[in-house]
Amino acid sequence: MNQTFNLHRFGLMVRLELAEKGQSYLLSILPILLFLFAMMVPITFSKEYNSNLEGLHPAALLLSVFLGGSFYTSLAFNQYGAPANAISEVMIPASRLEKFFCAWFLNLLFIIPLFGLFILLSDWTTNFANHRLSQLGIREQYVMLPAEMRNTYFLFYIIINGLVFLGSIYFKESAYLKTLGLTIALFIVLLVGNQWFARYLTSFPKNSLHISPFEPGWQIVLEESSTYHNIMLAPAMQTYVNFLPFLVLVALWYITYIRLTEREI
Amino acid sequence: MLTLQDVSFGYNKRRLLFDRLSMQLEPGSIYGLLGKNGAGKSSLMRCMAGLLFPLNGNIDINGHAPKNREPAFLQDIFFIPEEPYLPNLTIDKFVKTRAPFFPQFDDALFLHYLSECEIPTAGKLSELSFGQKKKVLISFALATNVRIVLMDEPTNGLDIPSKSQFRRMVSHALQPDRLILISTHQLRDLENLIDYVLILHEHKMVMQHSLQEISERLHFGVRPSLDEHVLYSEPSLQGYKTVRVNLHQEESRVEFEALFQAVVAQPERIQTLFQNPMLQPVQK
Repeated sequence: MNQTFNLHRFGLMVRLELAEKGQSYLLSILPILLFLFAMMVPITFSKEYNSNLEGLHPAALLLSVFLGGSFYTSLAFNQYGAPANAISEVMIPASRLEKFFCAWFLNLLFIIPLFGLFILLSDWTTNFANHRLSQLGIREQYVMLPAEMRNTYFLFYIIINGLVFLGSIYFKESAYLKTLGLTIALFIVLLVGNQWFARYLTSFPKNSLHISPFEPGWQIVLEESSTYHNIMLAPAMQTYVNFLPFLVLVALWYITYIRLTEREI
Repeated sequence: MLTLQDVSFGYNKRRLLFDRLSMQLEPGSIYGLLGKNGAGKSSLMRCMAGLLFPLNGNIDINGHAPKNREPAFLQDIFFIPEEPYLPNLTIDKFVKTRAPFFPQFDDALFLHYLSECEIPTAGKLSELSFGQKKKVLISFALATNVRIVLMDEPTNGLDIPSKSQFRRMVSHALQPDRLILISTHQLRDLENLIDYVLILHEHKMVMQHSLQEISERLHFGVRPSLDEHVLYSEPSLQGYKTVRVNLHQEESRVEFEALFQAVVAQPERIQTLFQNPMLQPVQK
């Protein structure tokens, strides 16, 4: 029998995981979906343009998709926390790859559709609301999330989930809070680094700079002149840069697997 | 077969729990692993189960290195930790999801053990008491029919009737191709159960002998006075309860507590006694 990966054993692992953790998964999925719908749908009832209702969509992205999704991800290896539970898990006669892929599969099974659902709901509710406003003769329209922004947010989303996935096996206690803390710290360091690099490229101007990593490309805005300086990469280099987040994600998954194989109890 | 070759382990490289342990445990026997608290019994068992990785040396269990945690290895070993974990499932669901991983699992035997232990089969496992959880896990372990069963303090939390049940179940579960290793500090729980005694003391395995060898070389009894052949003594109503060199091949029942105290008090003398052919007991 193959000692690395066997489809039958993988199936047994998925069945076992669903039996033992299905309830926890369900208890985290239901509030996430309820919250998502509760924040996305109200825009469809608007009879006039309401910026507060429009603002609920980015809030849903942050709270329900990013926070909720990452909380779900933090459950991936939580059975390896308490020693008694971890012993029971390690001693299951399945390979380390099967155990890893089981957690990975059940994670992606919810995480990817969750983002897809957000995009679908965002498009549908915004179109519906705009159509209704047009019918009511209101000229103001709700703004759709631009495609480039979706891609950028999706990249952030999968990287954050990759980090939380690693954190769920790396930390034995309070894994979610610790990973979230570290992720926020990492983002602050990146933002500060980004800011410093932009100021360095513009020879440390006296005017304040506005640089957002959440926008497509790398724009530097000199506020007083309102001039945008787009830092463009060569097309070939841009392709590599586009792949970078996926490489980071695969690296995070690989580190998670290594951590799982090296876990001692 | 379970073989350890120069195995060292410690949570800190400067303070080893055990150092260069070598031993070979054969199937068809029940081994009792004894030692003081913190001697490294649980860590040794976890190294054998592949839960901890030795700093040096090799462990071989039926041709597998435990640290690789291969499915074929895990299908043939069951480790019962001191603190049992059972998921929030019914017994039926537990068996349906866990048993398929063990090709030799015997459902009827598991149900038989459960009824012997008077475990209610309705309701969830998480609702059981600590002792009941332990009995479910022991029953499941024995029903898997794996060739290696490692039990860490299995009788902790069991009431007196359950302890005799445990002894009965384990002795009935022993097969010629099965090896059972029990670690405990409750020495009386192992009486009439084990065939071999392993004592881990101050980083070394200071004793690894069968009960027969022990009773050939040591005599356990009560004496009115002490002499130079006494290895360990404690006052009793009739004089002294002693462990002596068995000079005249007298028969006596091995008393684990006294044996343990004797080995811990005079490890070198006991080791010499068991190793040096010049000190073999005199035939009657």
